[in-house]
Amino acid sequence: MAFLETWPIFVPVEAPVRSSTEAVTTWVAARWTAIASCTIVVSVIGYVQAVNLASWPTLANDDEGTYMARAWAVQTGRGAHHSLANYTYWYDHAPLGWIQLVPWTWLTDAYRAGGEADIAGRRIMVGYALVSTLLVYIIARRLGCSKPVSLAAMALFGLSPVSVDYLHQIFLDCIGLPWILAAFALALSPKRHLWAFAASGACFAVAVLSKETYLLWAPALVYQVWQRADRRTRAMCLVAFSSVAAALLAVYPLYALLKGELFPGRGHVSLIGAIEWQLASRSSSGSAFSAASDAHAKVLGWYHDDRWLVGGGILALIPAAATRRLRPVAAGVLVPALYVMHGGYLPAMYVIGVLAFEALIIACSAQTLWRLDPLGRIATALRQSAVTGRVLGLRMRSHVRLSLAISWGRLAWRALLLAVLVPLSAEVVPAWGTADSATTYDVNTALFQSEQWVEQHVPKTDPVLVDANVWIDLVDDGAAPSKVVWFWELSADPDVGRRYPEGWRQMDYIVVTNTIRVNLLSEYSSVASVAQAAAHSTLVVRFGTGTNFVEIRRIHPYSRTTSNPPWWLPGYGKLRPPTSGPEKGEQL
Amino acid sequence: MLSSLEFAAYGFAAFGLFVISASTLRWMLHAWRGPTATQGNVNSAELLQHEPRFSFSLIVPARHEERVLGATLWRLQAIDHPSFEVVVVVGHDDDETRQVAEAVAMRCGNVRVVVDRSWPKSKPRALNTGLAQCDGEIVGVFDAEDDVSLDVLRQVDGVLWRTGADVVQAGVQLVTPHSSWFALRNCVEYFLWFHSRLHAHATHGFFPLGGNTVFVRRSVLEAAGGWDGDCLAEDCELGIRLASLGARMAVSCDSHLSTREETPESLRAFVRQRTRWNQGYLQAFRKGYWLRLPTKRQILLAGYMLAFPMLQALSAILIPLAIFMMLWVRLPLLLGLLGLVPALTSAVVVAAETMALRELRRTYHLNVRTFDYVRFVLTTIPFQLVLVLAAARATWREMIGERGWEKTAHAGAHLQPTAFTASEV
Repeated sequence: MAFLETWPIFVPVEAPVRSSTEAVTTWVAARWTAIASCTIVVSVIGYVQAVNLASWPTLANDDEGTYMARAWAVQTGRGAHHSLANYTYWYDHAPLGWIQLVPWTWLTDAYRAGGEADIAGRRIMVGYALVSTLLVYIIARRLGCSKPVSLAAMALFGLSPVSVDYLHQIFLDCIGLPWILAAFALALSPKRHLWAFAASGACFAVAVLSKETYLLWAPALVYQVWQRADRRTRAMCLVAFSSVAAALLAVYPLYALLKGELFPGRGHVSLIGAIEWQLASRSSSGSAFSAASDAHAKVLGWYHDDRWLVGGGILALIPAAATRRLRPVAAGVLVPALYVMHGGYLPAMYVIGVLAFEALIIACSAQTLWRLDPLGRIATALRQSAVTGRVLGLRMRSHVRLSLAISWGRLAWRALLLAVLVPLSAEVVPAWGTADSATTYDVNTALFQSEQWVEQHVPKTDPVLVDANVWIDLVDDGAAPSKVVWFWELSADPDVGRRYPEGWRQMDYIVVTNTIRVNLLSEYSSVASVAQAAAHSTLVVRFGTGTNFVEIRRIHPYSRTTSNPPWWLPGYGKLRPPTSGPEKGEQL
Repeated sequence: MLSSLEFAAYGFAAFGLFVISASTLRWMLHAWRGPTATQGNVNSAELLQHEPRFSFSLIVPARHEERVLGATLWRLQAIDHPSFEVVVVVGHDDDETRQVAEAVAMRCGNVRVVVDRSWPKSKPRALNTGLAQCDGEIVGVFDAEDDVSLDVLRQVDGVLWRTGADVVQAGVQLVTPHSSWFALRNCVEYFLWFHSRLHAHATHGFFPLGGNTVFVRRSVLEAAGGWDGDCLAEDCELGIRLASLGARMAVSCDSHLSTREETPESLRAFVRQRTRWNQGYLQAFRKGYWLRLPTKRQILLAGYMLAFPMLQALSAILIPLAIFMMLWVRLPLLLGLLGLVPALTSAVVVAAETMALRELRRTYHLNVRTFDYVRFVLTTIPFQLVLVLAAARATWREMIGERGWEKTAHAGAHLQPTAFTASEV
C-alpha cells in the first residue's frame, strides 16, 4: 500500500504556544548533562589542539600557505584576474575549502601586517576541529551509544596523535571534515524528516566541494540515508538527498563552463584537463601493500603515529559489519580504506576523514559488546529449557535466584570486557601522552626568522622566489604580489611567464625552505628552473638546523654554474650535509 | 560593467525566482516531510464506521454534457448514504442535456432537475440557481463528468462530525495519463495539489477550494451569499471569502474516495481551462477578500497564493532566459552564478516531481511505464511554456475586460462503461 493511501483527513490541531526563551530553557534543561560533559571534553581537546600550534607541526608542507594565500586572494580581490587564487586558478581543487575560510580570516584579521598568516589560519582550524569532534559525539549518540561512550568516541578522535598532528593544519580535508560529519549526523536524524535528508545532501556537496576525496564517502552516506529513512518515505528522501547534492555539486562544473574553462583548449586552464591530470598523469602512490610504494610509507607513518586508532578502527570493522545499525558508518571506513589499498594518489592528510569514522565504529562496537550480555542470555536459555532448568534447580526454586543468575551473568561479561579494556587503555593513554607531547617541539622558528630577515634586508623591488608559507606573510607585510614569486608558478603560470620572460634569471633571491628542497627531490621535472636558480646562487644567511633549516640565497643569473652548488641540490651536490660550515643565523 | 543598481535588480530577481521554486518544492513535498506526517489524522476506515448525521444536497451543474451526464448521475444517485438528493442544474437553452437529466430523474427519486435561466451562462450562476433549491444541511458540488466514489458522502459526513468544519474539500484526481502529451504532467499536478499542497495550506487555516467534491454547510454558504456569479474561478474565490469570514476549513484526501476525472481532451481545451483559472485567480486577487483574513501571515500567504499562477509563469520564462544569457550573452561571472540558484532549485523540483509520479502510480494504480518517466521529464519545459501561454492569455483577457466563460468539453474517457449511458436514453 502506498504511503498516501493512509492519509485520509487533515484535522487542524492547535499547537501549544511557547515563548522562544521558554523553548531554549526546556531544550537546555533536557540536555544539561550532555552539554556540561561535552564542554569539558571539548575544552580538553581544544587545549591539546591549540597549545603550541605555531611551532608544531612544521610548515614544511606547502599546502597551508597555499590555501591561506588563496583565501587572501578571495578576501582582498587581489588574486590573478580577480579569480579564486593568488595565481591563475587551474581547478587543482574545488574552491569551496578556502572560500569558506574567508569569513573567518576577515573576522580574525588573519592577514594583518607583522603576523603569520599560517598561524592565524591554524587557529581557525582549531574551531573546525572542535566542531568535527562535537559532530562525532552527535553521530555516536544518534547511533545509539550512551553518553559516556559517545564522549569516549569524541576523545578518541580528538586526542589521537594523528588528529593532534593533522587536525589544526590548514588542509582541505580538515575543512571538509565537519561537513561530511554533519551530512552523516543529518542522515541519522531521529525524526527522519525529509528536509534533514535534503540538508544532508547539501552538507555532502559542501564537503566534496571542499575536498574531492569526500566523494569516497558517497556510498556510505547513501546507505545511511536509505537505512535511516522510513520505509514509506524512503524513495522521496533518497531523491531529496541526491538531487540537492547533485544540484550543488553541479555549480562547480557550471562555474567552469561560465568561465569557458570546462573543456581543455589552447591557452587556458580547464576543469576536465585538471581532472585528467589528477586521475591519469599525477604519479600514483602505489598500493599500500607493496613495500616500496609511497602509499605504504604513508600508511606506516599513520600507523606509527597512532596504531591504536588507525589499526583498531580496521579491526572494529568486523563487529560493526555484524551490527545492522553500524554498517553505513562502517562503510565510511571500508570504502576509503579500500581506496588506499587500490592505489592512486594518496595525500597524507587523507587519513583524517577515515580517522573520525574509525573512532565512531570503535566506540559503537564497544557499546554493542557492552550491551551484548551473552552469559545472561545463556542463563535465560537454561532457565527456559525444562531439563536444564530442573537440573540446575533454577526453574523449581525461586525466581529470585534465577534473576540473580542472569544479573551475575551480565556482571561477569562486563567484568571480562573491562579486563580487556583497562590494560588496553593503560597502554594507549601513556603512548598517546608521549606522542601528543611532541606538540611542544618548536620547528617553525627558523622560517619566521627568515621571513623577518627578508623583510629587513631585501629591497621590496627585488623579485624573491619563495614557498607559499613565506609568500603569504611577505605579501601581508607589504611586498607586491608580483615581486614575490611562488616557486611552483615560476614556470607553470602564464602570468608569471609574461612578467618575467627570462624566468629564474630575473629573480634576485631565493628563500630555500624544506618544502622547496623536498619538491626539488620529488618533483624535479616540474621545478627544474628553481633548481637552476639554486644552482646559480650563493648563500647569504641560514637559519635553523636539522631538516627545517632555511637558507636565503642570492641569485647570480649570468654567472656560470657556481663552483660551489648547495649540497642539497639534486644533480649537483652529494645530498649530504657538510661536516663544517656556517652555523644558525650567521651572516656571510 | 554593470552598475550596482542593475546588479541589485538582477540579484533581487534571482532571489525572487529562488523563493518561487523553493516554496513550490516545500509545498509539493509537504506530504512526505516525515514519516509521522499523517499522525493525528483520522483513518478513513474509522470515519466510515460513523452513523451518518447530516443530510446532503449535491449540485451538478451541466451544460452540453449529454455524453457523460447520464453515467455520472446514475452513479451519484447510488451513493451509499441515507439522506441526500442530487440537484442537476441545466440551462434553459440546452435541451439535450436536460433530456438526459430528466430521464434519470424519472427513474430515481433522489434526483431533481432545475432549469437555470440566468444569462450569460456560467458555472457559479448555475450553482447559485441550484443552491436556492437545496434542502440538505450540507451542499456539495460535483461536475457532470465526475467518476464519484460511492463512499464519499459517508466519509465527508464523518469528517464534518469529527472536525466541526464548515467546509470540506475532498480529493480529486485526474486518471487519464495517456490521453495527450501533457496529461501525465497534469495528473501529477493534481496529485501534488490534493495530496500534499492543500494540506500544507490547510495548516494556515485557508486554501483555495477546488471546482468539485467540495462540501459546505448550507447555512454558511447562504450567509456568505453563495458563489460569485462573475468570477471565473468561483471555487478559489469562495474558499478565500469563506475563510476571511471565519469559516473552518478541512481537507480530506483518501485515494479510495477521490473523485476521478479526465484531463482536457486537447491542448486547446487545456489552455482555455488554465486561462479561465488564472483569470479567476486574478479576479479573486483584485476583489481583495484575502486582505480581510485574520492574521498578517495569512494575508501575505493568500496574496502570494493568488498571485502564484502568474509568478510561476513568470519564473518559467525568466529561468530559461537566465540560462540563455549565462551561456550566450556572457554575463559577469557572479551574476551568472546568481542565475544558477533558481535554475538548480527548479532541477530539484523536477526530480521530486518525477518521484511524485512514482507515488501517483502506486497510490492510484495507474499504468505508468519507464518510458513515461522519460516523457514526464522531457515535457517539463513544453508544459511550462503552455502554462506561460495560459497566464499571458489570462492577463490579456482580464486587461481588455473579456470575462466570458470558456467551457472545458468532456469525452468521458475515464468512465467505466455502465448500464446507463447516454446512447441508451
